[in-house]
Amino acid sequence: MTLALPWRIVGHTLLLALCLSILVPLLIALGTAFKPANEVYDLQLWPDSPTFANFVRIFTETPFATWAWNSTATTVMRVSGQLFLAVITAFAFARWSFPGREVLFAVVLGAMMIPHQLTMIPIYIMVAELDWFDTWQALVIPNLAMPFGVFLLRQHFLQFPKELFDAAEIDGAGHWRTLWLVVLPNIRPALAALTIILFIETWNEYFWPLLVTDTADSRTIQVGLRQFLEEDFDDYGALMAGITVASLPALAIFFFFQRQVIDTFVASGIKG
Amino acid sequence: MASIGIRDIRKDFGTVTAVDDFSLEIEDGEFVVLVGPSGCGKTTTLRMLAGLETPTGGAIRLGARDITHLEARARNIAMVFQTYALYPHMTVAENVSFALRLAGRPKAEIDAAVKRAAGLMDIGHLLHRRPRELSGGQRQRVAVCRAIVRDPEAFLFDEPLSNLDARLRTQARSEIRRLQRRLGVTTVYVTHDQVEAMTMADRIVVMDKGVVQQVGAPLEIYARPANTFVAGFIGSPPMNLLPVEVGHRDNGAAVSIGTTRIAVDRRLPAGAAQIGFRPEDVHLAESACARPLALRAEVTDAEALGAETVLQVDSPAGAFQCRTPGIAPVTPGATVDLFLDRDRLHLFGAGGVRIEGWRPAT
Repeated sequence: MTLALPWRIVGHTLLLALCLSILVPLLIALGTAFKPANEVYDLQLWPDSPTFANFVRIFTETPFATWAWNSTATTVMRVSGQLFLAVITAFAFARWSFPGREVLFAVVLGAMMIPHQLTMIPIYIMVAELDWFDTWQALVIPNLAMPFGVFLLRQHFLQFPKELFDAAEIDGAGHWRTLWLVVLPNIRPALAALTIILFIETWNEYFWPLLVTDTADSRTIQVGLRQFLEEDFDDYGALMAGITVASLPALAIFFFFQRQVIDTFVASGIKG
Repeated sequence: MASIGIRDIRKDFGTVTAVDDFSLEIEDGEFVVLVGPSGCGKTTTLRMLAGLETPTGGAIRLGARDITHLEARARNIAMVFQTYALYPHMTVAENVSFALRLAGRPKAEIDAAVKRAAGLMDIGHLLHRRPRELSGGQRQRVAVCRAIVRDPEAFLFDEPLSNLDARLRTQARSEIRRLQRRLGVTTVYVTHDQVEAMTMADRIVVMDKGVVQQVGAPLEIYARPANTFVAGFIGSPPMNLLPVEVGHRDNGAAVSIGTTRIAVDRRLPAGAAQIGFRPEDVHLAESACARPLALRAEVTDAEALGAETVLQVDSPAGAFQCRTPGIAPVTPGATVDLFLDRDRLHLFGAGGVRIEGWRPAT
């Protein structure tokens, strides 16, 4: 179906406006990051003489490197843990018959429906009682269970060709080796997509790290960036430089795993 | 290599019985084909042999070992699947060597075994390819190669040729049979294709609705089907089965086919029965000669296959098929005189069970 010309013009205009609404703030942030202090409030999108001063300043005059390290380490641990738990839980739900399986899976689905904000206070109290404030485990452990990941991977395991499970069993593989050597390499697109979702969600998380971290050394990058907005002085140059640096890992992960998703779809031999 | 003993195995899925009291002794090195229509329980039986299904009852023996409750990986049985089940992310060499690598065999031993098996299946040049880069026939050879590399005590084949075209299927059929003879490995092969069963098997097991209908050598089953199901399943075209009446006379019994009466030399129980004859045992008569088992019929269809012609005919006794050598000089609508080979008639009584020891009187 082809739309009439006036509708196409309206459609393209709307799409263009949407693109600009996303791109312009990004360009402003990037431009501001490279602006010298006296040009920060200029309306000009890109500075006349770009400088790395803001980047140098956040790394030398603030604990930005520590925040980045906290974010990187806790994100890697949390995403790895979430993936591991989601894989083995989904595999158990998809492949094993055990009493109460359907009820348990309904509970998992139910957990997906509960807003994070609702469970935050009980978990906060738990973290307080465990005396985990300002620790990595407070950032990692309470968030390891990922019902959405279990749901997504279970669907993929259910669709996995049954003959491959049988062939692996006859070849001498137990459940673990079937999972690691046969199943996971063939559901790489799903794992890559889930990794992107989990990574970006964890990396960008603001509220939970704000609740459970207090000292400057225990903060993550997203909470730390808030420090550049003070009541008496907003250091937009440093803030935008920090945002730019903070975006890089998320972008890298996205492009790396997006490539994995596409490569695996192209190379998939399961159905061919 | 080992013999296989199957005693009274049964498999229930809820209230449905997939396999009912299946018993069979398979000799060491024998090639047994399980054949039957979809849902007859042949694949379930094979999966129980493989250890992929647990029998509800009965016992399975491999050599001297009771393997009924042994895990699949502990049985030393190899299986070739209908879809080949090659691991898509591995190369052919990795697929073939997977079982050996899992068993922790030394690399040199694995390489030698893969090379030997690949040589046997003539796939040495494909070892570095992935399954998606192979044709259907090549995948089938890789699947067989993966089975033989382990030097198993028995081979199980689950309709391995059903995804191939007709020409490749014929070629693969004879290759598998040659390989099995050469290796001498006890083999159980499942198919719904009776031609595969007839051409490959030392013995055929015909199954229907989870129950064994007949076990025997291919030609024995063809010549003496145990019941009307086997008669109708084995043979292409299948055996003609016509309803008949067994009537009594003073000195014996007679079977009436339409208006033709055949005196039989034994007193049979009176009542409804079915008479069977293979399409090649009906012959075109050159004229309306006074043969004892002559029938006049109208040709409803003629399938000229070159070497033979299959005629569909309609007679007062019922519709049946007739196979004549060469090109038959008849067209649909023509009336033909046919006669039956009196030594090759089969009689099936109540419940479709074969009646032995009867013969048309001379």
